[in-house]
Parts: sequence; C-alpha cells; structure tokens
Amino acid sequence: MSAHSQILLTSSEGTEFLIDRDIADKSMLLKCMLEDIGEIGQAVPLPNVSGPILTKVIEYCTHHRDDPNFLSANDDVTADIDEWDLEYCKVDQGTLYELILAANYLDIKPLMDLTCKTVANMIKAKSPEEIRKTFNITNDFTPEEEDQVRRENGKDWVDEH
Amino acid sequence: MSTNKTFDTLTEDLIEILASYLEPLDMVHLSATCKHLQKSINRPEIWEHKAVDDFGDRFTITSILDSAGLDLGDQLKPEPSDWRQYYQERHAAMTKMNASADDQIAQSEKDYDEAQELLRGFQSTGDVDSLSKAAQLMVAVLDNFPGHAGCYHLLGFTLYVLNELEDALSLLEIGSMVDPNYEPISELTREIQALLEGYGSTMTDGAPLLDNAKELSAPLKAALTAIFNSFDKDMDGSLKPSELSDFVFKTNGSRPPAAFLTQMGIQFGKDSKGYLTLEGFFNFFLEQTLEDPIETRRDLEKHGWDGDRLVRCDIARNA
Repeated sequence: MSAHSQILLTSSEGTEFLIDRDIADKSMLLKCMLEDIGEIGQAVPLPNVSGPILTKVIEYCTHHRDDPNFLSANDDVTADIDEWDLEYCKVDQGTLYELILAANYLDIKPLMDLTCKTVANMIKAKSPEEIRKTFNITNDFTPEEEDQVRRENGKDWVDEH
Repeated sequence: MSTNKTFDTLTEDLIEILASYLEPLDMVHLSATCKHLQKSINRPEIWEHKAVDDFGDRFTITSILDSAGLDLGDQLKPEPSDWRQYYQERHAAMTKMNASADDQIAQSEKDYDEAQELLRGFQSTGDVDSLSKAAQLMVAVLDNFPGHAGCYHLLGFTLYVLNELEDALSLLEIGSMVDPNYEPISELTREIQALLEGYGSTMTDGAPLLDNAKELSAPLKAALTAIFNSFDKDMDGSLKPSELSDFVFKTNGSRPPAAFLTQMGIQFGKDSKGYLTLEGFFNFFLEQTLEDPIETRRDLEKHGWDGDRLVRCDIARNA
C-alpha cells in the first residue's frame, strides 16, 4: 500500500471527491476503516455529509496536512485559536453546525474542538437574553414560565460562585 | 453556502456534542432561552455524559471491578437516578475541594502509595482482600482526581493479576481516554493484547476460507452465519449498532466509535433501518479474507470456533 494512494469519497448528493490517503487519515473513521479492510476499490459513501461541507472539511485537513501536533495540539480547551483556524470559522452559523456534525461523524477531533470552541465562545458568560440575541432565538416562555425557570436555575446553581 | 438551520432547531446530537465544551452555568443560561433548548439540555443523557467527562466514568469502573469479584465496600454506589442533580452535587463538591487542593493532593498521593503497597503485598501473599482494598482506595482517589492516570493503570493491573484480561482492557481503555500519553497504560494494554492473541493457535493451512479465491467457502459462511445469529439478539436479521458493537468488542477487545458502526452498514450492506445485514457481514469478511486470511481465522477463534477446521471448538475437541 503506497503512502500516496488516493481515496474516493461520495457526498450526500453523490458528488465524488478524490483525496490523498494522508488527508483521509486525518479522519479517524476513514483511517480505521481503511486499516481494517485495506484498500477498497469502490468509493466510500458519506450520505450524511453534503458536498459543500465535505469541501470545507477537506480544506481543513489539507491545511493541517503536515501538522505534527494534529492530534495533541488542542487538548487544552482554553487554548487560543490560531489565525488560519479563526478565519476558517468565519462562516454562517448553519455551516458551522454542519461542520460540527461532519467532524463528529468523521471523527476529526481537532476540527470538532475548533468548531465547538467557536460556538462555545459565542455562548460563554452571556445572560439568556444575550444568548437569544446572538443566535436569533425566539423566547417562547410566558413571563410566568420564565420567572419559574429563573427561580429554579438560581436555586440550583447557587453554589457556583 | 446557505443553510436555514437556526440555533433553536439544533438537533439533540449537536447539543450533546456542544455540552461537553460548555461550562455548566453556560448550559443553564442556554437552557433558559427557549423551550426547545430547555428540553434538549435537561435530557439525562446530556448531564450523564458531562458528568463522565468532568468527573470520570465512575459507575462503569465500579461495575467492572465488582463483576471481577472485587469487594468495593462503600465505594460501590448505585447509578444516580437524576444525573443533573448528581452533576450539581459533584460540581459543588469539586469547587469546595479545589479550595483545599493541597491537602487533597497529599492525601491522594498517600492513598496511591498505599494501593501500590497492597498490590505488592498481594504478589507475595495472594490475599485477594488486599486487591479489594487497593481498588477501593483507587476509586476514592478518582472521585477527587478523575484525571489521575496512575489510578486507572493500577486498577487495570489489579484486574490483570486476577486474570480478568478483557475487563482489564476495558478499564485501561477508559484510562487511555483520560490521558492518552500515560505510557504505563499503553504498555500494560500491549502486554495484555499480546497475551490474548497468543491464546489463538498459529494457523496456516486448514479448511479453505474461499472458493475460487473470490467468494466465501460454505464452511466459512456457516460459521459466520452462526456467529452473526448469536449477536442478532432481537433476531431481526440485522445487527443494530449495539449488537454490532458487542460483536466488535468480542472480536477486537475494544468498542468502535458510533460512526464506525453506521459506516459498516453503509459500506457493506444494510437493511431499511441502516443496520448491517448478514449479506453485509459476509461482504465485510470477504474483503478482510482477501486482504488477510489469518485475521479471519483469528476472529473465528475469538468466537469459539476452530479457525483451522472451521468447526466449533466444543465439537472439534470431541472429534
């Protein structure tokens, strides 16, 4: 098996993506499959990843292709996000969520960490009202229900600080 | 690239992933924004996973140790019925503990040394009680320091000396997820895996696995069908993810990620629910056998079949 062999992936719409084996290996799912069953002749179908999202995922794996710390760099959840990664995450929220799901499915831990941290940072240390504004969430609680939620949460987490 | 997903229609899967990146108070605030998020965030699974993430997989660990025959005494506690409340209690306890962290660290180091001493004692006396005592100490240390890789190693070692090799591997796997770089865990894991592999015989020729070098032979198909059926607990003709996971666990000694299980069906053959069918199971073994026939014979051995003669071991022995 040559290190430069290529793998064919098919997105949900049936679009084919030919990628180098070392790029595919960034995904633990693909890596385990390819190791377990060896070189597969036909394409690997990915019915829950759309073409545009798969393109984005491949872009990420290609940029980090020769990154020696690919799997260990992001262990520290509070670590700063580097500039390229920061730029990479400047997409609409829907795309960001789909990237999280794709990274989770394909088991690409650093991409999971990056996209989840990006969303977590948008939530961090905000009040419920501020979170609603950030994510355009409609408040569907009645004033009474909201009062009760506030009371319960206040009671539950009184030990926090 | 445009999508119309907004945050309050997020799938529960996504909420679950995000939860492990959020501080508990952020989750509480998020749950107070709308009814959908309130419901999704307060599902017991969310808080159970977060508790395992932040405070260790305590109940899996104690159930493994208990089933291996160790007496855990007070440390054997029932699983919480309310995970959110359990999380809060543990969170409050950890916050309090952090205030007196130095004392706690000193105490845990003392307990860790004592457990090591007990294990050494066992090697000269063979007294199983000292193993139980050591396990109790380790479980208690993990309650305060769930990231203490040494404890997982000692617990794995305890199961290893009890000859509970599969259990030892499960425990070491939990430890390796907590700290993938702790060398003693990887070393012991390799040692146990080598032992387990050694139990299989070395097979060269034997009953043919393939016909015409391109399809599974009848005896191999028969063996695979029997193995497939033994894992198809609900007898619906396909292996759902939990059944397939059991099969992989028995075969390889570790559980694959959920996506791997789904992908097996997609790759090799699935029914309408996406579960791996018998035909798909055959296809997988055909690919593997073409690639590495010895691996297929070894897999059969793991399931109680004679990998050489392709008959069940209990029958092979009587023959």
